[in-house]
Amino acid sequence: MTIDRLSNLPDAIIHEILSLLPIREAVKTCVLSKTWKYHWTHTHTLNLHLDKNFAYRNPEYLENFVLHVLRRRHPLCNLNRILLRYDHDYFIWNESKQLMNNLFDYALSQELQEFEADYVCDLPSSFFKCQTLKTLKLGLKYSFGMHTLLSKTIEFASLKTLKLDHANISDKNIHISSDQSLFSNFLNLENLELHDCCLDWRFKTFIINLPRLVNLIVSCFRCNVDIFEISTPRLKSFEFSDRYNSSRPPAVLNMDNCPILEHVKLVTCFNKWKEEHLSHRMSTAKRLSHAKSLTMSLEFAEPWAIITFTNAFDGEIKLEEQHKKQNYMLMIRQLKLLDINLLNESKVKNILEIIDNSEDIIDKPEEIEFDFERFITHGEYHPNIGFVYDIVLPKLLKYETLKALTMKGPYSFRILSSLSLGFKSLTTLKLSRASIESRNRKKKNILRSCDLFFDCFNLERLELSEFRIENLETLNIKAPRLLHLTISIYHWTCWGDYEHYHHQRDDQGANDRKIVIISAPRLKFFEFELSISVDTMQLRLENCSVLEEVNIRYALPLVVWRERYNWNQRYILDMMFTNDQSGSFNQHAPLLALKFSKVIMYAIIRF
Amino acid sequence: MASSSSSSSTQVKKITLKAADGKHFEVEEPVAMEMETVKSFFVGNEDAMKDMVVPLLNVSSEHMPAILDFYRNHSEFRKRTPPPPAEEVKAFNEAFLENKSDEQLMEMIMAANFLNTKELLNFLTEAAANRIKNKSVEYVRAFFGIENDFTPEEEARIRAENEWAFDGLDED
Repeated sequence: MTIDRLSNLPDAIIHEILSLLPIREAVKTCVLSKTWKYHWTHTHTLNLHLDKNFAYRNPEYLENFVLHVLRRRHPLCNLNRILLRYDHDYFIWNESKQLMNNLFDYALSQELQEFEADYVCDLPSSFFKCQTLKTLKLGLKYSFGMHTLLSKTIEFASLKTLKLDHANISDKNIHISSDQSLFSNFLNLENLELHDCCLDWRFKTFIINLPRLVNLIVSCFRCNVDIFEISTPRLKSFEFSDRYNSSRPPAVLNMDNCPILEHVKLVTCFNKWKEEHLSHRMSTAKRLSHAKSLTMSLEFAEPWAIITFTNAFDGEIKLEEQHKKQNYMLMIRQLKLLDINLLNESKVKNILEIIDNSEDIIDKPEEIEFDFERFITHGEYHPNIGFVYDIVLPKLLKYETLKALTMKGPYSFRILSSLSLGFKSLTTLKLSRASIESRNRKKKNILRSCDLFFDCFNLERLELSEFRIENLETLNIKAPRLLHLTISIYHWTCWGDYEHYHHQRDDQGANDRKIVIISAPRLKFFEFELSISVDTMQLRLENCSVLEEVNIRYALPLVVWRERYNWNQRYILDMMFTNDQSGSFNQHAPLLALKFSKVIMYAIIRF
Repeated sequence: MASSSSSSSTQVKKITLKAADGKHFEVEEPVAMEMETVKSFFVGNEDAMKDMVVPLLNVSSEHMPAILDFYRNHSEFRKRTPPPPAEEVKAFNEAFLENKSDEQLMEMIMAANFLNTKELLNFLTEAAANRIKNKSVEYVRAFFGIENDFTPEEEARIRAENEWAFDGLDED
């Protein structure tokens, strides 16, 4: 049994559905059944979709078609909406003045509320008498001037929504004075959208003074304006995008009289990167900070970059930089996370500029996280990666308030042994895949030692994972407040390794060459992992009297072990053996020497 | 029978709705108030306790979860600052219509009409219009469940009368 849906569906809904169809399709339903014969005549919308059926026809055909429709419409059913859509560029729409006259002569008697046209060149004078019009959306031939809309004699008293596409907003008839407010004759306007519009170049100030405006969108606006003066006390949502070449400074945006702003989105495009642009927009953002949500996007064509700031209404600020083409991003998320990907030299400079210039917005960050992991593209490191670390890290030094810093990335990130970090308030430092090296490769006899993080004297937690040490013999970690220390060493080379390896030297001096000295009087937890095949190394815990837990792991993969060394050279940490083979113990010994002995190769298997 | 549920609700007030087939739905008050029909039930009836069961005679329980989901999501979309991206709303709407037969769509239109919520009704009628756009007469008849009560001669005459509309139209 089939449900007779026809009997269920009220006429009003059928008319509603038919009103949403192009008029030709709606008329077509007259052959469905006897009851449907006149349904279409009750539609409240004339949706004239000029598709392939109207193409290649003469204007009279269309005129006749519309006249047929208008004549057959039910006399008691008002025509509320007229939509004109066209599929074809070659359509002769604008030549048919007669049609427009007929249409609006009819519509005047119908309490027309909405008129929408994709493409229209001229509107008959009868159109401007539509006092009932609430919504007007016009796509306009670019060369056409909207002088008729600007002229003060037109008043769409009921107009609430105005959307103009590709309109050339100008007024040939009136003298442009500096304080002329646009669209001021539409007193009840609540929504105003201007897309790809062009404002008469004589306007030096763009003034919008509309008491009831709630939503304002201005996109791809072409103008010669220096100041945008938007005085709209009820404005809640504002979206604005414009573009500049480097020769002209961005216009000033004055929105002081918009007290209840909720959502603001500003997009500014520049053809060239300039620091002033950024700071200029930053100051604009500051003045709009009373908005609940503020998103600002700066696009630069050269070098290609998009920078977006979002000020969410709980005061969080998001800095986002996106490289669309290559899908790399930079973000400072909620001020706590800075994530940089794919950088070339100029791009890094941009980021550094951002860091420099964002000082006002990023007010004393306490936590920063860099994630360089995505530098690895297609399994290869970005060629310019090394210098990022060298540059970015020192740049961060200006954040004296920084409490936590996390950096993750491929091995080529270097910390120079001579580099002073100077994060005086830093309490947490996590470095992943970093490397430390001395630049004095050539000088043979210099004792290559490094006081690591000696100037971060508030450090409480230090994690160095997949750490590489290059060209250094002694690593000193002196941290008076350190509580938690994790080091995992993946690579350690120093001068003389080559000789040592080849000549199988076993003298005392070589045994002591790789030394880690930790001097941390408050250290409670210490974890040490060795994933390299070092022959000898010493770990000295000096002045670590309150240690509670020590974990030492020797995580060398057996495969590597077998390949590189013959059985006679297998060593294992003596210490492992002496400490119940667990690697975890309570101890008060100030010195722990890790020596590799030949004895306990069985222990290795357990790892 | 509704009072059993009302005692526990101290945080979010709930309203019990009764679908046409007798099934009960507990709905948060703001969501229930999206429906003008429910709203007017309480407005017209100042004495009505909020824990009264609101009978929804024309809504089958089959569609209630989807309809309530629509209200919840769209009221959240409206409240959000900044407004949600158009794609997000579109994705939700598309998912909502997915797997809904023509018949189910019709029933939901009836429900939305009864519940008197403009937003849902507009959305569903637009979906219906999209489904019959550029479709043949037979297809549209089937869609609305219309029986052709014209004789072939009558139908030919109607077409002739409205020749200006049918002229050049592809019958597909």
